[in-house]
Amino acid sequence: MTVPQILYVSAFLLILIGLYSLLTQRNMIRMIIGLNIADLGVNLFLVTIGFVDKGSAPIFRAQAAAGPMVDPVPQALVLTSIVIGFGVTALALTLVMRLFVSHGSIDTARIRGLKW
Amino acid sequence: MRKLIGILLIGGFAFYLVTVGMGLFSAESRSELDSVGSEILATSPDLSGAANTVTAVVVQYRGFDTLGEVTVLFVSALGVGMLAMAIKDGLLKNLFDDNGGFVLQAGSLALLPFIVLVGLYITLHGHLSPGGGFPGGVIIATAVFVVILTSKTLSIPRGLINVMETLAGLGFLAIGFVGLYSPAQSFLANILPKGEFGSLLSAGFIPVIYAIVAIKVASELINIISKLTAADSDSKEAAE
Amino acid sequence: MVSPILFIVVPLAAAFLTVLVNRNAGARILALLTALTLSALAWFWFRADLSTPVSVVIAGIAPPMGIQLSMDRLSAALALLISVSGLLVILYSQSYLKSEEAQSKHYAVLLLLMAASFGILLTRDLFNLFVFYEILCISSYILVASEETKASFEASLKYLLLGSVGSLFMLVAIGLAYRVSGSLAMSDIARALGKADSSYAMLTAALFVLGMGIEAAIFPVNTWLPDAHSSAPSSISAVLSGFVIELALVVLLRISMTVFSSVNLMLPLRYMALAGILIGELAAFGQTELKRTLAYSSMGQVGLMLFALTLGTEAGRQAGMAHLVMHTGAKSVLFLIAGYFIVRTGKREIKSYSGLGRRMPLTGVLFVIAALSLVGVPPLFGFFTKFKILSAAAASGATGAWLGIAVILLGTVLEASYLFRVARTLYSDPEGENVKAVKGRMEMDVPALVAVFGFTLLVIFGSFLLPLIPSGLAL
Repeated sequence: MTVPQILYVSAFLLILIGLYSLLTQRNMIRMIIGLNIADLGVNLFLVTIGFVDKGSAPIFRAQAAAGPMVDPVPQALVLTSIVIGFGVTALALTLVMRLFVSHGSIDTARIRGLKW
Repeated sequence: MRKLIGILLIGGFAFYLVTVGMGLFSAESRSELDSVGSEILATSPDLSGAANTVTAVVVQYRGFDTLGEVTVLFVSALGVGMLAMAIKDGLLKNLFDDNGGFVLQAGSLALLPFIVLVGLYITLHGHLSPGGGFPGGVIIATAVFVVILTSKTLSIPRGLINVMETLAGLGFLAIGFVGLYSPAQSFLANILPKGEFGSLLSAGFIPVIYAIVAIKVASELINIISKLTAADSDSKEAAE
Repeated sequence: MVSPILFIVVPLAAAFLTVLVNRNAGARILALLTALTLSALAWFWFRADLSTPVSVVIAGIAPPMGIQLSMDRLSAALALLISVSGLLVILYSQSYLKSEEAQSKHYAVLLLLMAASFGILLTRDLFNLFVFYEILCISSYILVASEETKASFEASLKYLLLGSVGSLFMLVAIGLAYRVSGSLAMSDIARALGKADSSYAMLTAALFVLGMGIEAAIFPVNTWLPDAHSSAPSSISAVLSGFVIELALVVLLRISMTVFSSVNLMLPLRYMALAGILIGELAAFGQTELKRTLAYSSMGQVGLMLFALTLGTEAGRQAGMAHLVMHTGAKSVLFLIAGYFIVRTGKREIKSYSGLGRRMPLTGVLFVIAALSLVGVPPLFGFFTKFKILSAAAASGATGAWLGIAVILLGTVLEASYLFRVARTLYSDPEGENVKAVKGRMEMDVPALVAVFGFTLLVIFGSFLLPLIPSGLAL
């Protein structure tokens, strides 16, 4: 297997693990952790898209090493995606705090609107 | 039951990906770029003057995304603020009620300027090396977080932080407008002189934008942290 | 020079400033002024000659390297709809919101929601679309939770979890699109996907539609809608049901028809739409709470619009867009009035509103007009749009068109029966405790009445706007 193939497979495994825990966990904090794992998988997937064989970081230096540089665009996209993930996580945790205050539990089975 | 449904759904999705998706990733070992990235790598030194091409993409080529990104942080900080206002005590009070003791408190205060310094360095060198406004801002916020963790009597100047937050946001938009009404006639156009390639004062407006982003990120994060830990002075008073 | 960028920059700047304004009155005035400015801007663009779309590039860098925004007739018309709705809802909020709340933050989030709506309408870059879509989603989550009740937190978290999974799918789809096209500009991706392997294009399109379909409330992924729209503050329900889901729907369809034109998405979407109509209207029929009824009815109405837009004919698209405008007016009226029913009686069940129509004569009449239009009773706008949808379906000859007509007629019967049930309750004799519960100041406050009246004008006279409503879903 080549390097990007390994990375693609692990990215999709991370996404699947994250989605699985989102679906099966009853603890809301764990569900949010699952979401974050899936987020990581997506970020890994995006970075891998920019992979080039023997590529270096896309930074120009005085004593430049000859050879290709990796694609800078996916790295910029990942930066954005990380920040968005952070914002959503902060909001989700605040909501869980409010739910804990009002219901006294973070178990979705005890919260009417989130049971399934 | 939900485990079973979960396994079925995820299994089906995985099966679909393996049969349809994975076959498409087989021939994957390219030695040169065939995307817009190669054009960006070729034009970036002249167009942006930034040695770090990722920074050039984030701030200049896709600067509009970064404005949106800053807005995402802003709106989630607003949301945390709106929702956490009602949690004054009870939940995290015990967690943060403990005094860290003299050594930790003095230590965290002594560390504060150094952590802030690292954050500033990373922010201002964003166009030369990995880093920039987002990680820099996070590091600056961390300095405050360390202090919050060790002492319960910290009062955060909320008014000042709100003003900085607003000014940073407006500053970003103002730089955009300068571009719009300059000869370049384009929102967020990089019209400042590019300077000498690879030096600290180069890349036109990129370090300026990154400094603004760092201020914005740091103030949003300090806001979120202080709201979530109820460390800010007014909610403390209200709880007593 | 008026640049389309102002649509995004003006509400952003106002939102940044609003946080500094601690006084509720100041924040309200700032929000109103911003919405007025936006409406004026939208009017300017609506009147402008947009036979060729006006494009601007950001940072002077043309796509594929940079980001391009483009204003066409569809965007201008929807921008006008959004900014006027926003203006009316802000007007309504000033009497509806409880005074002790932190209103400045509420208005700031509402302005950000509007900025994000304009963003996803104007951008021609797939990743930029994602960023604005995220702002739209996050501000919706916050606004749903801002009712500060148990039910609203539950609804908001459910919405957040589903929405985040949708965003993940969208991001994977964007990655797949970038990998095959090497660009993020929509037109480049459309070209590259046309040449790519069909299963690859299919995977990309499916992930994207599934992701964005969550905000557009397309059938299998709309389970969040009834909870979120019914437990949000009523002004926000009006915004979410009034233009947010419609906007997401239109943008999603524009992308399906242009970027994913190589994949045949129209047929599956049409059947999903029919399922949505059937399930939404049936569920609405069984509800006892007014706002839940209205929320489920939105689910059905979205299906109706989606069905018309996916017929694949010009007439179908025209009818779908007209129905969208009608739904914005009618559903906003219904939700805004439902908010006042809850304020006046303190109850959410329909049966507690008995006799309310006599105590609030003007409000009651406005409610009935909007309900009649939603059902499609002749002189009102809703009749014309529904008739246009049915005739477009009959003329299109598309697969499932006749099945669709049957489902729509069935949905209309259900809709008529539950909305008439509400109207009958409003004008029946008040029973039991309701007799004394409905005392005190009755009619809505003046600003709220003005806002509702504005939406009602659209519902009554909208049919004159029919020739002005654009239908082109091009890039």
